[in-house]
Amino acid sequence: MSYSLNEVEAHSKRAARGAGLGWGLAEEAAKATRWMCAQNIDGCRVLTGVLEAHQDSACNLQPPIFLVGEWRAEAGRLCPLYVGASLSDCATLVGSNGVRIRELSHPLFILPFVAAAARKVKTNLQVRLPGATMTTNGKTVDLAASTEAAFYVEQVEQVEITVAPPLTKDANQIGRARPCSQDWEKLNSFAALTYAPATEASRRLGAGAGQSDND
Amino acid sequence: MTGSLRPSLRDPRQVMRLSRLGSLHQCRLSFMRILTRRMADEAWEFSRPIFNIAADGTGHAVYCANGPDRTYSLVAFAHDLPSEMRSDRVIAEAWDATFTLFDGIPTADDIERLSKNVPLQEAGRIRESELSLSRANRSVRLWKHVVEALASGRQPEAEQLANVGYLMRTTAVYGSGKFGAADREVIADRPEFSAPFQAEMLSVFLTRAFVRDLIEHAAQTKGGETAARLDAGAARQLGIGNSTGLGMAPFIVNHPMLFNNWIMAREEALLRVRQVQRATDAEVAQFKEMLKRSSRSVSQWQSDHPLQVKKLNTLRTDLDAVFSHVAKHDLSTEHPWDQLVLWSEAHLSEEGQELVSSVVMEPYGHLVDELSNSLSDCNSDAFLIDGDMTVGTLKELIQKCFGWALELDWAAPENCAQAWYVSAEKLEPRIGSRFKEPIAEYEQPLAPARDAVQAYEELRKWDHDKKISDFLLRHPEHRHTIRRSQISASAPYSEIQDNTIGEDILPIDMLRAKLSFFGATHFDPRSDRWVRICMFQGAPYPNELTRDNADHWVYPNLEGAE
Repeated sequence: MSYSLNEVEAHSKRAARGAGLGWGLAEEAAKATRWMCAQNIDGCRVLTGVLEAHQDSACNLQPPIFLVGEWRAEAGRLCPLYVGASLSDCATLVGSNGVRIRELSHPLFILPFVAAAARKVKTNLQVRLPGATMTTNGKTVDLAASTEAAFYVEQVEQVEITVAPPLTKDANQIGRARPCSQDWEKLNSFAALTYAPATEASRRLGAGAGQSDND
Repeated sequence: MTGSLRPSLRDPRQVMRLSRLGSLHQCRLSFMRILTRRMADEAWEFSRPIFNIAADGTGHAVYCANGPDRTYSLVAFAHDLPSEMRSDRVIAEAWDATFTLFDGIPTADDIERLSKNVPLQEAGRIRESELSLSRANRSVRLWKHVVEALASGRQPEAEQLANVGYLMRTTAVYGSGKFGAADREVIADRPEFSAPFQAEMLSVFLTRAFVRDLIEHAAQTKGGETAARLDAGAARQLGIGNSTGLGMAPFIVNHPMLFNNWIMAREEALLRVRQVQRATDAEVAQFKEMLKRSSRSVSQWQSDHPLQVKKLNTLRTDLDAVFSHVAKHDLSTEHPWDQLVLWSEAHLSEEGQELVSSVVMEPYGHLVDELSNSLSDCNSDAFLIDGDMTVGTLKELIQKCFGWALELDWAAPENCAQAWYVSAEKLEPRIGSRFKEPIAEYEQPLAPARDAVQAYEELRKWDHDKKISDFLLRHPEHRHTIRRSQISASAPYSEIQDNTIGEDILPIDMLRAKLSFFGATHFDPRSDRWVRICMFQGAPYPNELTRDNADHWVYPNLEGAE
């Protein structure tokens, strides 16, 4: 089934919130997922992976300790959402010096944030993973790898973001997303955690109705 | 009295209070008027290629609107709804009629597909070729009266028409990608849809034509050849009702930049008019005419809700005061509109002040109308946080936008009595008692003032010259608030300057603010969180639309005038 990008964003925001993220990060996770879908990347698959890793204590996802030098976690792995948000916040730094990141979970998820940084400082940025590169000017992306699996890896030891030469590829955004139903349902189950169970009081008062509409 | 020689934009602390937002009226920049002006200017053509309604009133119809570059089609389905199932609430599952606005002209296959989905509304799926999804219920009493009158060859009673004002009311008009429809981005660069909600307004405009045809069909089925057609003048006075609950309230909080652009455009329009040094005789005459016609609209505005009854009584007194003031004071002085606005601020209620603000814009289409180009939010990257901003600068932004909130005791139960949440049953926004219902852990981020104060308390512990990126690394829970604060730097009307979770919050104020920009009239609250309105009342029907009637239809004609 195809979904509008607006549906993807709304669904992703609720899912990220349901997985325990703050509202601000949930909004950013949702925009990131939407951006990936518009680039024909399976954003819902990547977000599902990130949110599941968040639930898994063995993954121990962390924010970077500092935003200078090599970005690393104190223990465990770096969370791509925290890293992504900081990359976007620090666009000036990323656009001038680049950044090296250690032990990153679901590295593909930082791509929309790198794209945001590229738009902010009007430059081209390249993300290098083992066996794959992703180059973006913020509006479009050029993916290069031997196999698609190289982009969807669950973790990498090192990621490097550097300034890149201009892209030769034209923007080719698409307007619909076609996530696999398992990922959509998984996001749905996270999203459901944000809904308050109905009570008699909420049924009666919550929407403020009560008068007859049959007039 | 001397007016300010240099009027300025009104202060957000004045404009963005909930009581004032809940007193806004339609104006030249209202979305319905933008649509009818454009369609008349571009000489859009309208047709009804299909009207396949059976004797029992069920079936489907298609209404096409042909613009310069594209055609849009309302696909309407009429149903036989048992009266016990008729509910305006969003949790309803069946309706008298259901609709979608199709991008182009639908084929028979499209209509077949839509017939299996549109009647289901939220439980169905539509595609990128559809721009809206909506439904409507009859006003049972008026519907019955009109059918019986027309069937027996008579016109319905004018008083009954005026008392209700519409034959059907919509209970939701969804657009922007909802339930599979096309995203806003798909149509945003089309000139006819560049202003907000134009596809939704077009669908309601065409719905009104369908409803008129449907009731004439019902009357003819019942009365046969002697049945009357609805008199054109009477039909004009019938709009489309709308019944709106809490689902709409969070919108103006969740879209701070967009809401800023709406308010900013209206404030800029008001400022331009206040800057007019001298009004011509024609401009003064037009103002006076629209004031009288506006007064007629207010006299037809009915509500049983105690809060609105009180506001209406005050508004009627205000209007008397305006007529009296205008009769005594010459509008040929310098800066007449600035003088009038300043006078209104000293003598009228917020309802009255906002009505004056809307009516003074009427003679100045050449100053105001182009502001309709700035109503949309085209800068999606305003969402991105500037991490290089210092903690000190961010604190100043919060002080500027939410200085009043820093003084409030947010721990006091009356200041945080309510919480916004989404119900599991129907996935719709609700508001409830934080201390009496188990909802706090599901709270939606719809209390920007409280959240700004919480962020401010944390920021105070940081050095002024630290970067926000470092602050957010330690406090990601404040990203939402930091983003909003940075948006407020370039969008002074982005934030409601009031407590949205206090025990005395009236969600209808938030609903009215949004609906007034649609161009709605005759706000009739059914509770503190539920309001009925009328849309396109007085407007020409599609085939009657001309440049002469495309704009001021919202103001009823005076007795004896045509």
